[in-house]
Amino acid sequence: MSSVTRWERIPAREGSYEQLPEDLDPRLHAALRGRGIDSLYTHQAESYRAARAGKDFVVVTPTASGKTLCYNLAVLQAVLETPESRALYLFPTKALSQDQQSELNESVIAGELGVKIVTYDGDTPVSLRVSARDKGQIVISNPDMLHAGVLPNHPKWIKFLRNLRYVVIDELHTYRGIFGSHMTNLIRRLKRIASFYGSDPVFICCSATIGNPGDLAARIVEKEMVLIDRNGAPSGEKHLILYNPPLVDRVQGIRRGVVNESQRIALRFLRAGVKTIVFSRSRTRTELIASYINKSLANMYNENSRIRVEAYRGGYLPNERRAIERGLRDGSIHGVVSTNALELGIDIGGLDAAVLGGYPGSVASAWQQAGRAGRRSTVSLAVIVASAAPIDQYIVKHPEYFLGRSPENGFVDPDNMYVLTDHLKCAVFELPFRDRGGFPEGSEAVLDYLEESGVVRRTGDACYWADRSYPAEHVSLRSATSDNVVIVDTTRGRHEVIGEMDRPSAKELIFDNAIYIHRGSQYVVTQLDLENRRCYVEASDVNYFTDALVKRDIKVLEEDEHHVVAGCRIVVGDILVRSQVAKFKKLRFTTHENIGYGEISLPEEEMHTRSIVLLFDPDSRSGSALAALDPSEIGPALSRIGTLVRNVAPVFLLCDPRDIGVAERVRDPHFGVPALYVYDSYPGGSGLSEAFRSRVGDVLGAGLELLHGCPCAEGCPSCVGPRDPEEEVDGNPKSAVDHFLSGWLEGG
Amino acid sequence: MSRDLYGRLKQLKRAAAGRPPEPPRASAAQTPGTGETPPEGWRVAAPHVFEREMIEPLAGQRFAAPPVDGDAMFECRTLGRRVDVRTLRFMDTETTGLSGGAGTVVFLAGSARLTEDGLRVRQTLLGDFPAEPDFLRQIAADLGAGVWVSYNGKAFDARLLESRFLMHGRPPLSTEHVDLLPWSRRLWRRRIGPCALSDVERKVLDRPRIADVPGIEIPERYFRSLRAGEFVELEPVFEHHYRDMVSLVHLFFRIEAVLASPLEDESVDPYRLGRLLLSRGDASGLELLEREVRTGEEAAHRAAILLSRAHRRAGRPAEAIRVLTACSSGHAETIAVELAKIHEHDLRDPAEALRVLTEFLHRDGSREPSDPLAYRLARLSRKAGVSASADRSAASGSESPLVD
Repeated sequence: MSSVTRWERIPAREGSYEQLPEDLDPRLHAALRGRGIDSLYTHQAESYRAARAGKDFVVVTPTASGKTLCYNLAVLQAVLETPESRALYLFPTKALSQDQQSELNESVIAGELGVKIVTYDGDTPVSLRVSARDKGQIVISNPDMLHAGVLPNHPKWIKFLRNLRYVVIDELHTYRGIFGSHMTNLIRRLKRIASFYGSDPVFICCSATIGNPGDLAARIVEKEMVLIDRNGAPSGEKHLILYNPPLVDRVQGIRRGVVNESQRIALRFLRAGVKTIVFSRSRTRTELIASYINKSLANMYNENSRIRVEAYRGGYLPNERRAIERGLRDGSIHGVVSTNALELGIDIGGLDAAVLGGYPGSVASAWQQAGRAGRRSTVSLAVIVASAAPIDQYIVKHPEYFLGRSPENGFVDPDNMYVLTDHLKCAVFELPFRDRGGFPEGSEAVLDYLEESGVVRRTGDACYWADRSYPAEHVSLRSATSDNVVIVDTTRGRHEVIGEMDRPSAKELIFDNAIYIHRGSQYVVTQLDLENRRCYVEASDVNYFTDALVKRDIKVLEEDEHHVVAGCRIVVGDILVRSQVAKFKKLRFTTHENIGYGEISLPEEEMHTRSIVLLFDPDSRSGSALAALDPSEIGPALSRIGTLVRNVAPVFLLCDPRDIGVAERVRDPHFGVPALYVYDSYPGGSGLSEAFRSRVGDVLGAGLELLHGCPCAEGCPSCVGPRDPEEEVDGNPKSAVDHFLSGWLEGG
Repeated sequence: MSRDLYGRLKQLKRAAAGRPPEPPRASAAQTPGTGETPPEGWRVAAPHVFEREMIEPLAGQRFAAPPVDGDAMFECRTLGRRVDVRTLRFMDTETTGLSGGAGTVVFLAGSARLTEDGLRVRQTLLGDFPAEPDFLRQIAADLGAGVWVSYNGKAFDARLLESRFLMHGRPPLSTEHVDLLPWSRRLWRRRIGPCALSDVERKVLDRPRIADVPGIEIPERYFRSLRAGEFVELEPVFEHHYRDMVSLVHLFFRIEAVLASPLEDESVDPYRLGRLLLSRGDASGLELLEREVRTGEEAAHRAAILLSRAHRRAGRPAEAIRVLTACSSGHAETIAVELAKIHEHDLRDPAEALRVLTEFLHRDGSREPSDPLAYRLARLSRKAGVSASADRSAASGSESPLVD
């Protein structure tokens, strides 16, 4: 118990219910009753009323609160009343949309009501597309498909778009930062085309608990949104436990590892018949924890436990994932170990306990994961097991920080120049511009620019696309490539696809000779063929797993602008961020001791992007402030400035922390002086680093203010980051940063 | 504010592309031409919509069109029915891009048609984007009825026009449509390879193009003309478009001629044409497939099999055997199996079937028979009342069992 740093009890809550709406179609009524649903939670009823009244709304849906009914009810009702009505459901990923369709088809009502539901995404065979477009009453898709497939070909969708009544945007909270900025522009395009065909759909958004759901929804949809956040679903008593694994080496401060501790705790729950989900921070850890648990269970004599535990992560084949989800719902699977893949709204029913193997990095995610344990009537519990990372250690030592903080806000900046320009191109392609058509003030200037670069023609009173290209093809909504490598099991002449993985991860996880664990079975990679996007594996039974060492470096390609801001030289230019896996470690199972190395020969992963570089020349105000620190403090202070920038910049740049990259160099090889890079984590750039250039003073000033106002003693995740025992700083890193920043900004 | 934004954007994008600043370009509003004057020799059909019509006499043309006077009906074999030759619309469009989608515009469309005066070629040009509704109205008048004849028009031109009509709230044109691309591939791909219209013109029609504008340049020429407000740069495009349509006429009647007397044209692929005719119940198919068998080329064995099956269906097993025996293109196993089937099923002579197969195995003695062949052998052996193993060892001289 001494390892438990906080035990928080959240009391049970009664549900609040309403009768099924009176105007509900009798067929829908009967179908619901057939499934034992004879009343609605108040938030479901409220959603139904809002949708029926044609109000756009966002409903905040904690896990297990009956989210899908919040939109399905009104949509199905509309389709039953007027079979020509159409609805578009957008899910952030292909996997989620397929989940959704199978759920709608399998467990909901649609089948017996004769409502035609289709998935339209990159996997939809060409032969089925025509009928999907013409006959689908509910079309389930994702933003990428809407962007590159549907909108540019809207005349083919005329029947659908003309009758579009509802647009559902699920998992709204994932549309933050640059991705969210793309989403707003995509919705602008959708509204514009819909209005061209005479429809004005109602927008329904669903969001997990974040700091500003109403605000985010209003920014994505650009309409007034009714916020429905009074959850009517009941919940049993909940316990939240913060757990810091015991020290094994008091002198060096080494604690028991998060993998072993998580599996130990989960095992205790499982053996006691408690249905448990374990969240882990990586795919490899997920497989490790699952296999350790299964091994320990197998050790119990005569396998009497009959406890079934599965791993779950992205990269499993859809039918495998479906089977696990089903097993969790029907109770045949008792435990699951997952990456954050199960954090999103996939229906797995209620579980009794959640074990978070490491703090997931944000308050919103932590609550979302903890919420996976939670039943309507019984007691549930969530344990956050801290890893050795400074942020985890901070959370368990300062529980009030975590408990007292509201979940993060989601920011978007739809008028980001890069994003807006890209979408205006797509929009002109889709339909000539006569007025701004829902795009913001300033769009005219972008159109002027596009006219001058020769892709747009302004004539008469409108702007026309005047280029031979198909612009959506060159605009990606996401920073990561969606290229997948298929994993093929070739054991004993077999040739069977067992999973898939995105290309950048493949380089780090399934290189030649890597050990790949898939649902507890071990394979060795015989060949990673990136060109043909195949990875061949064979069954293996070695006693280790592998872990690649990733090396990242930055090369300056072009220095475009030089400025001096607040006593600091600033360069804006192009950089190449390269990550290379050159070596891997072999780690013994269970003990995780290092038993050898191997070489990896794979091409580097490169990202060409835009960056701003802050240079601390010795004779400048910033440089001398830095030089005034103790030499051992310079490195840590620079890296703390990086953390501070990450924490503060999103507020000014309206982005998400993951949209920007920060790297510091005590002595930069290109510039020869201490340097701090802040770059766009987006191939080709996203305009954030340029926007940052004009806000450097504001961001750093706000950073200093934050630092002064922060009640922590030695730094915390909200300011410069918690104290890291790995750093060899004698003094307090917080005060070192304070001296540096004050000296620099206040010219002290 | 918006000027500021504009400047910043320019700076951003220029920096991102790593390019030097572009010299300022005159914007459309300042250019002298306004695009209201038609190209020379064209007439104004509506504001910014221009049209021209040219007539070539039919006499002296190298295509053999049926008579255009009187009832002008002829047996159209590509369509499979009788058609009034005057209703054919040899149509083609030029577009602002090849990828399709709502932003790709048809700017030049037209048709060639046979009239009593001769071959009438009409072209309609979109002089600027805002005039598209009038442009489409003109096209509808030209192409709204009759039978379209195009080259790859089903996949491209027709779909694009449909999009344009829908976007302007007009019902799409709906007509019968003969697409000559699949026909050309069927008849000539084996001989000439890729079947772009220009390939077919050169290698089949003997109408090579001189100084043709490359298709990839066409959109850019149009955009430049719009900016310049005059259409001089499009002259080669008009010529290209015109030629395309005239070539369609030549090609169409060439294909019709081939179909009318399929045995007389040595240039076509006898296998694919033979197969088609056979499936249509045309006896010339048999002769074409015989030709294919005689070539001994890659498709010869497939031709032989098709042919033998046709003979079998018609109750001529002896013919079927003759065809197969004459085929010497390799694929000996397939041929032998096919022969065995005739002996076994048509002639009810399993012993002979067995003999054919064992003889094949004998010739091919180097390897084990494939599974299906082994099963067939075993069955025939049973039927023929001969022990499988005895026969097999006689055939292959090996003791290894063929079947379990």
